[in-house]
Amino acid sequence: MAERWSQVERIYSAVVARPESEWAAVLTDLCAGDDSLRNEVESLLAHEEMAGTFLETPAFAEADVAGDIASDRALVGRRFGPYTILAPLGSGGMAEVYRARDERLNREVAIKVLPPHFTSDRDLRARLESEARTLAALNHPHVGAIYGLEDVDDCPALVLELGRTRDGIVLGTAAYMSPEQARGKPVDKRTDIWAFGCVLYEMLTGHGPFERETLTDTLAAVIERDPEWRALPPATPASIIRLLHGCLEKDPARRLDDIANARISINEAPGSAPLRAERAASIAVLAFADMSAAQDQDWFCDGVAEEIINALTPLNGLRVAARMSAFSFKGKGDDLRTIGRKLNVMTVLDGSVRRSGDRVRITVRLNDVADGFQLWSERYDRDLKDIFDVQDEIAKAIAERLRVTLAGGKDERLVEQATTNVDAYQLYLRGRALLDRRGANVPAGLDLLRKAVEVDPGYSLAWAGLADGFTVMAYSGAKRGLESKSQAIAAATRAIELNPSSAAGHTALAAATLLYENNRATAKREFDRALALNPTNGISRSWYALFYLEWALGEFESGIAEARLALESDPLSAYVMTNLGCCLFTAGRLDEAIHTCGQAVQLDPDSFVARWALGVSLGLAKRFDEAVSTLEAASGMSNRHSLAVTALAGVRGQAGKLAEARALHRELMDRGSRIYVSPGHLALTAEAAGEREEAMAFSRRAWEEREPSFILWARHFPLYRTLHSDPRFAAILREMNSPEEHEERQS
Amino acid sequence: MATSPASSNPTALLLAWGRGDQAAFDQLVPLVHEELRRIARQHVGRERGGNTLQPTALVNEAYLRLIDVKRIQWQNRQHFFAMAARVMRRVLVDAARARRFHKRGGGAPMASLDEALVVSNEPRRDLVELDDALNALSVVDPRKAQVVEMRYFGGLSVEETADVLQVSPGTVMRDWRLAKVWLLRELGGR
Repeated sequence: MAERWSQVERIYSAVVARPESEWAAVLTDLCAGDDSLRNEVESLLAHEEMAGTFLETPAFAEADVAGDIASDRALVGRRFGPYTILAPLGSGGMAEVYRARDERLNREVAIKVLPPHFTSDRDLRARLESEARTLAALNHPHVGAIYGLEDVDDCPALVLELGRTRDGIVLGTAAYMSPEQARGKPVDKRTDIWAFGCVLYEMLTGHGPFERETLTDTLAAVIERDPEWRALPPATPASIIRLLHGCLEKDPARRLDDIANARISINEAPGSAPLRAERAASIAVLAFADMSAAQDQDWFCDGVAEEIINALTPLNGLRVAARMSAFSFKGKGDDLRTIGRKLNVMTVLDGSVRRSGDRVRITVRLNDVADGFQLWSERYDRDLKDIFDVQDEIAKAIAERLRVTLAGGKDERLVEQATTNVDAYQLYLRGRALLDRRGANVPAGLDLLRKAVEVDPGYSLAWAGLADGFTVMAYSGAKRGLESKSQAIAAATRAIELNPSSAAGHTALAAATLLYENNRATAKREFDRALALNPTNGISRSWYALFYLEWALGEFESGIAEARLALESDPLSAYVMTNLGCCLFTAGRLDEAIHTCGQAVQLDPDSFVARWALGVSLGLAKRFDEAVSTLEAASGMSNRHSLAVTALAGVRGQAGKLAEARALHRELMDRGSRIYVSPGHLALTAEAAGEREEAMAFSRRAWEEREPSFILWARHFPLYRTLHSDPRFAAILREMNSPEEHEERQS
Repeated sequence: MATSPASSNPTALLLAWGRGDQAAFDQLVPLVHEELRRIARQHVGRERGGNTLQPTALVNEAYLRLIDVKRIQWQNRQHFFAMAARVMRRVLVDAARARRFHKRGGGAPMASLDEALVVSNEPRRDLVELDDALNALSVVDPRKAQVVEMRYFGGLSVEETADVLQVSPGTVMRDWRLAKVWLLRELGGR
């Protein structure tokens, strides 16, 4: 028999390792005519489909273990006054009920006591006593009689009639009965709202929210139980879920009080007819919490969560909230429902990472946003070197829970083993985290990324990150473009050579060729590739929108449209929102720009670029005082970054405050005698200070040096527009736009 | 329990079980059960409703209270969690069985409405049936039943389960997969 079983096991494992279409053939082959063996394996395979989620949520997730463990108190067999306790009848959160025998009157009664752990709770004792008085005063056909109030272990116990029949009540209506009705209290129109909620719930799920086998169970559920929110179809619009919550509120005082409100909610729901239509599953992966002793691993935690986001994003039928938006809740303590609503997702994955040396413990929880129910949780204890495997397992487990079909079957790898070198991986994560913070963190991030590619020269993502780091340094005017040009282009090219389908690599090459080489054709091609590979990457699309469409081509409206699209997939990213704001102010839509940049500042008050863009918008709208104070703030948080000083000078110049503008120009000039300052920025401060000759000289120099900060802005950044009418500047623009300026780069 | 003081020391028992002593396991279970009850009660007393206590936290606390961690290695800790899974299974299945008994009434009269007003009695019938099915599985393939017990009742990860059973995680995954379909078949495909 044992031999037979191991045979079954072997064949089963062999069969399920293959695609389902091949099962029959494999079975025929392996069972070799042994029909009973084949039947046995087939009877197991028949359950394969059901097995996906079966038992995957540990038993205790659905049970009150603490309550179960704590509450098995030995009352059975004991005697209190004339009553002998016979057997437990049931228990709820706030009460236990036992069947007991009244020895004097020789009849059975029910005795209701507080759970053992609540016996000393004064409020609950008082509540039980007041319930006794209420019951004694009531004469309601649905409520049984009370016989008395006894002491059980020095605690009040209700003695109640046991065994009433179901007279005078029909189960069907009980299911729609409101809690106050079930209690025999006065009812008003709010009871109808309750009933409406019951009917709506039934329409959506096929059964009433409190339907139970027996009347007593039904009434208990009406009063005590929350509806099974999970039974609602996943596609149920949030507005309908809110409406149901409003209608099925147990306390009439907190219930929706006007049916007209209900109509509004329904009309607001997208497409009232296909309420049950299947909508693609959606998920937000939040930044994982750092549980390490030193609390210094947040870059690693972010990296783990991001890898899972990257793995899930390309899956068909699953919408994944973009990283920057999902991570914007870090440390804010919002509840899941709020997060789910803001990100418009149905499920949220949160987790924690604890690192200790080369051991990693990752715990994850997948939660249903609608009711906070935990769909799945798991803990992984691994060596650091297996980190990609864990991430892959997590991503697959999520896909399975959310019933997303993997194109390549179960063996498809979702998380690429990006590097086999753990040190390189850590250097990359830390470098990228610094890079993402922009500003003064970029050089340190660059150093780490350089080390990452030294340790593992085959690490495509690290090369892409390195290229981005160079490009960011150059276009923000912090470093001379010529110093990093060849390194940036080489790094981006290397990233693509190592992994031709890397969206990060193509984005890096697009930005580098556009800004270092003024090569719009290659940039266009690379942006297109990157966006085809990963359409929801907020950075790729918003760079494409702002750097390419808006500032390189002057296609203002399509730039705004793309920037809005970027924001749709990454709605809570201050950076993506700022880029939309920049598109808007470039197009002269200043009110919208101010509004959008203001929102970006609210999203991330620490974001330098958001504040900078808000200041620029305000200045263009001639709200000079606000512009100055906003830009002063930006300058204060960036150690007077030349971007901030340049914008400040621009505002001063526009406002006719020449003295202030000159002082700012001098400030940058002085700085330029000590360290590098972008001639593109100096051209703008000179222009603001009324020094047109100087402005032209700096512009020419910036163009001759192919300065990325100049290439970025010269054509369409609003502060450059006063220069456009100068023939010398017009000549520069002609050169910039001449088709011979460059040839398309092959890659 | 007629045991010498030394052998009723939970740490010693855990170590003995880790060396393969099944009797030590049987002695350890009630100790752990009692400790879990104590912790659960304290907790439920603190937190109304009581269901915010995660079983893993519960077991962890029991572990820290009962076991002298300095004498124990990582593997023994996994053993402790595996045993706690057995305790959890008993607790949950017993609770479900009690509810079920009530539900079916055992010939007792229907509960009164007043009682129903405050009492929840949703049976966890499937847990009882699952327990029976799991017992049946343990006859056919004890290790697979253990895997289910540790994973489903104990909440152990695949790796932890593999550690306790001293097999590879891949084996645990294969066991787990086959055990699930076997149990589904046993349960009548629900």
